[in-house]
Amino acid sequence: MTLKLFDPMLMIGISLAIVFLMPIWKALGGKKLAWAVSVLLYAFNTLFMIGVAYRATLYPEGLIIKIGGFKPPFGIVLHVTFWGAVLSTFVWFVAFLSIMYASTRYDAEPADVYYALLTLLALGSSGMFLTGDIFNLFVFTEITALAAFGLSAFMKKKGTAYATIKYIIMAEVASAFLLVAIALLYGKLGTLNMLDAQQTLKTVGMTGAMVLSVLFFLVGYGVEAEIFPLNLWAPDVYKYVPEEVIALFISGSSKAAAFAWLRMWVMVFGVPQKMLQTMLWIGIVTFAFAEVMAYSQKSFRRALGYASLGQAGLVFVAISLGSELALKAAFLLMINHILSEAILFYIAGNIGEDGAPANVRIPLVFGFLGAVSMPPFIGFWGKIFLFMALAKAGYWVMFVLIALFSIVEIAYMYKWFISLYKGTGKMDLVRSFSPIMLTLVSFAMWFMPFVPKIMDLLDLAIKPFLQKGVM
Amino acid sequence: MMFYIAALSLIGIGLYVVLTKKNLVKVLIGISIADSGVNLLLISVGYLKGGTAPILEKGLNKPMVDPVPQALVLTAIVIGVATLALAMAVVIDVKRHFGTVELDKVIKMMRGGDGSDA
Repeated sequence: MTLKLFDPMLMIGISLAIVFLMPIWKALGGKKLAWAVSVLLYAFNTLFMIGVAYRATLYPEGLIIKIGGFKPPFGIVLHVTFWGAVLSTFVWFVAFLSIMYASTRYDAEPADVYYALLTLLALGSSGMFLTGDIFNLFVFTEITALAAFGLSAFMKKKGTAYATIKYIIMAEVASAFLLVAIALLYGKLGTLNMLDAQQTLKTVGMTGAMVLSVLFFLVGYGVEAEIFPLNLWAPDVYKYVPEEVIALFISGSSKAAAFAWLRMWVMVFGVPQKMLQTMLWIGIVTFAFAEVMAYSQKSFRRALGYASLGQAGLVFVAISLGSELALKAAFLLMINHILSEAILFYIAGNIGEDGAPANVRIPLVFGFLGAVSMPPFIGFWGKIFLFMALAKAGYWVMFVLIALFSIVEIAYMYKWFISLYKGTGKMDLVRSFSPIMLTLVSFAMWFMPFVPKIMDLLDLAIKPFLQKGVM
Repeated sequence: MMFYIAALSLIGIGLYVVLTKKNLVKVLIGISIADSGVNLLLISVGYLKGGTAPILEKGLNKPMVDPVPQALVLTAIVIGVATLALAMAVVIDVKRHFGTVELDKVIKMMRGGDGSDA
């Protein structure tokens, strides 16, 4: 079978080999070769992951790949779901666009290290999307975090130093909590394989130690997934760090942490009903806090940063609710968030005195409309699903709150749109490639409702995460 | 039980340092202490009194300690070292730009200026 070629381990292996040889590429052919190798790798990985996503559609419960031939639960496994594979494809795609964009960034030195860190960030988050083992998940989480710290501090400016040290302190404390959560889980269940843990937990039940473990997992992933109040590092990082890196943060580390939360909360712990309310409120507060803060920002990038936190809050609500509709909503909202915010951040780095460059006006419109989840965009369906899920579960207060703060979001986004639209400057052609490509993708998504069997794909994406007996 | 108490108190001391100290180097030391506590906790989860090393060998018929937490801690130690080094590098960067490593002063300086010089 040729499909067997699409083994995600191959992607991880090739990427790691190329990353660690990065200084050699630079020694052989200078900065240009290091760049070219990275571009080729990202393009290859994007196409490869499309193949993996296609392969994953054939396995409704997710494709299990044993590493080293050890039988699970003793060996480490990859659990490739359609959802994870799609997000991983997007990570490599955004990484590809970011490195195209980074070719115009002549101040990033040493360039080979910069490209290596970009690769590691994309690789680490891909790993987090694909792995089916909690130990492995922890390792990929740390790879992602380290690459993110490095990229965040890379420019060695005043702002980046300040933003990064806050980020590192919060993320490191969180990583200690993550380890304690893993220790509690392992001490009780005796396994770190997610599917095995899911089965074992059914016999153990949600004891006090398990509740504590859930809370510590929340802290552990809350920093990267940008959950209030653990997200206070994010607006500074989003303001000072280069835009191509931010685009990768949005599609990579932040989505990967949200996905890890999905794995733990929905798949392993099976949406514990007694903690459900608390989680939903945390998500709502994240959303509300972010939208209110975004409204009062004077800088566009900070406003975008807060808007991004708001989206993360919505995704968190959708994941935590964990019902069929809510998970569909989470899937769509994640993709929408990657597309719209990445477009806006690419443009935000090039805003002149009088507004956004004139040659990227159409991407700007797409970015803004996507960010507020307007009808033809995929985020609209995500939000509708989320509202339906909340209504179905009877959470009317949250329904109203989300609707209310969505209006706040539309208000400030409209304000920024008006002030930016009439710009006359011109964006570097190479740089404008990235937002335009993303715009094409989000335009293509308009036609998704007309594709037959598209709803089957949506069902397929959430299938491995559905718990029997949950709403 | 001893191990758990020791581990939890190490984590507690570490978190206390992180939350109360303003000096970035001290904060990082606090994180490091908390990390040690976590590592100890993980090891004690897999510890077995009188257990031997988890190696399959003839003549070693005693009960073995659980290898998984040990592997996990080994990974965590390496990651901790890498992160600490990177964090120290960023602290040097902070010192270069702000002339101080006191977090409250740094924050005040960032808030005082508009920070647009980034």
